Amino acid sequence: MKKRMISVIVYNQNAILTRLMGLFTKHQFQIESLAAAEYKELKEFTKVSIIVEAEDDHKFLQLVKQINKQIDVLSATDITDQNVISRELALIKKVLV
Amino acid sequence: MVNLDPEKLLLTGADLFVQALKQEGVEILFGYPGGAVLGIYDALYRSPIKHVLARHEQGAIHAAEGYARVSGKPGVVVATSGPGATNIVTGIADAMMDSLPLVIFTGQVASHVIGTDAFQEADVVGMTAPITKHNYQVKKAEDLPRIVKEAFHIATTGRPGPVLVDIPKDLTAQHTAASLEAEINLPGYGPTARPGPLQLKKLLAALSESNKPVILAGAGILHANASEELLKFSECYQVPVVHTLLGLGGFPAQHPLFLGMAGMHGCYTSNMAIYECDLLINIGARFDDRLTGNLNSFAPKAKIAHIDIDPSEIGKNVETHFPIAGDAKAVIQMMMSQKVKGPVTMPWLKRLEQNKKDYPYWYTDSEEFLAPQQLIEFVHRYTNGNAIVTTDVGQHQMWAAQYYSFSLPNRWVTSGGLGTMGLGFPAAIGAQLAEPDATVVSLVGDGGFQMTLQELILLKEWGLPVKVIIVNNGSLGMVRQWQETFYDKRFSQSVFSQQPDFLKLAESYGIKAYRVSTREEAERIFPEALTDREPVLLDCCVNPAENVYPMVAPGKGLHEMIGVKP
Repeated sequence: MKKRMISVIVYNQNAILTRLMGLFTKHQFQIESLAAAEYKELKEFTKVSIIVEAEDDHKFLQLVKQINKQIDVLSATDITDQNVISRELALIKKVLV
Repeated sequence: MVNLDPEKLLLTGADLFVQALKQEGVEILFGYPGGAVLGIYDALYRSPIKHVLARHEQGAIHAAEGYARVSGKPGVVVATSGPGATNIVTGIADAMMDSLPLVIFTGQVASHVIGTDAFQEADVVGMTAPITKHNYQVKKAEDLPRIVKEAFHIATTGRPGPVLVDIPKDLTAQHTAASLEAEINLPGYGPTARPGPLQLKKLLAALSESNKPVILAGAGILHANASEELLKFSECYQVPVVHTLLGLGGFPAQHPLFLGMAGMHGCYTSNMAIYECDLLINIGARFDDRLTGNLNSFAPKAKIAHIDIDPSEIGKNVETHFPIAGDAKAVIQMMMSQKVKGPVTMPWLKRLEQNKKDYPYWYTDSEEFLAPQQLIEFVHRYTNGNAIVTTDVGQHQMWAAQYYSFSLPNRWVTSGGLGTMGLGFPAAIGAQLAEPDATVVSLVGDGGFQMTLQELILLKEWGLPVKVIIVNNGSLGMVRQWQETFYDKRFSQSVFSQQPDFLKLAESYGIKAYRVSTREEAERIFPEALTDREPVLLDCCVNPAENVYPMVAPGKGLHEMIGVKP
């Protein structure tokens, strides 16, 4: 299993996240992580970063194409093997007895 | 002097909506009223737009599909919220699979109660997201003109498809001073019509080198109005043409370069041409599994070119050597403008011609029964081969595809991708409304017809001379055939123990009807019944044991057909 990362720029309209999630379900991908944030200067656009585990390259690339096809998607890019800065933040709660 | 309240001079959202429809050139709507669309129907009451009141929303949307397939214009549907919207889901999915331009407007409960499980509320936008090209829920009445404009633009450009607009009831009653002038704002949408020249150059070079080329033409040819271009291209380079089920009519069936339909119930010549070719040029087909058979033995010796308006279809099912994203018409025109040395195809064409002679479609004639294949041949003969034919799904659909030689585009309305029983009859209504002077034949199975027969009343209501031909084998024929072939003849729930009297049914709807059980009866009744300008229902009792051949069994390759010869 290889972790794959997709970066999607969407036009913030018409339940676009619902449509995106539907595509992941249809193509049988489990989403491991999803982060969405508006562009500060361009309020109507949002960047969505999605991490999935994918075994089948062909299936994964097909998913990226299908995402790209959505009317409110400006671009969807497979950035798995690109230079990206990714960061995870863990908040650990310790129970003091 | 009357003081007019300026408030009263403002349009309601519903008025604005209807005006926006007029601006898009909508002449006819297919729909069914209900609580959430009362405002819209009130505005339609004052509008010249024709409205076809189906007797079930499913009938409305299938009629819109037939209208769209035949006219090339978008089919427009209005349904109410909740059950009205859920009743059209099958038609939306069908249009999505077969790339039909539909614009669907559903009512929705008032904005302030959305999400409270209000009476007749359903999450239509969520429900239809996977089966629409795009969908909207309107948030403000003044957005209606822009959204209507965008919906029609999206539905009819690029790869056509259904677009749904969900309109909360309060917005239709709201007064608004909004203008009809609206700008389309779709930053993420821009279909590519013209591909880059490099892949085309490569494809033409491969064509010059090829000895056994084949064109596989799908419905993309019809959506792009590229039939003439396809004919010119095929003749120019002497490349034979194979059709998908939905592509039929895109290339004249009588033409010597036409091989026939390919796929699960395609002819031997077409399937073997795909198996043996060295260059397969797919124009506007999506390599559906019913066409390809086992992918491991699909066109194993061929370089494959795929021309498609939808880039995501290219490489989806079949590895492609020449990926060309673009509109079929534009692409063929571009190819024709770059004349290259033609391939030497004469020996290949001779072989295919011989195959056509040696392995035609066949059936067994009997004195006892009317053979369903012969029934289709009669329909072809008595409609001069230029009727609009709509079908349901199953054996009769395959026989229609095999035996009704389509020579004109947009004369064949059938559900390919989704395989929707019940589509055929309402689609014929939409087709007849689109082409009032054409002969429209609705070939239906006795199973599928019983799914949407309530629309019979529309023939009377609108004076539509649709010819309803029930290919009646007393069973769900294709299910029965599969049970016979793969389930050791255990006919589980596929043979009807009781059937209605279809003649009495027609009579109750005010439509003349005949029963046809033999060849003689067909030859006696068909000539007049199929040519006068009256609606008619023909209950044709055919051999119940007849199967569709040839057949590529599931998991087999196109070269492994059964039933090629008697």
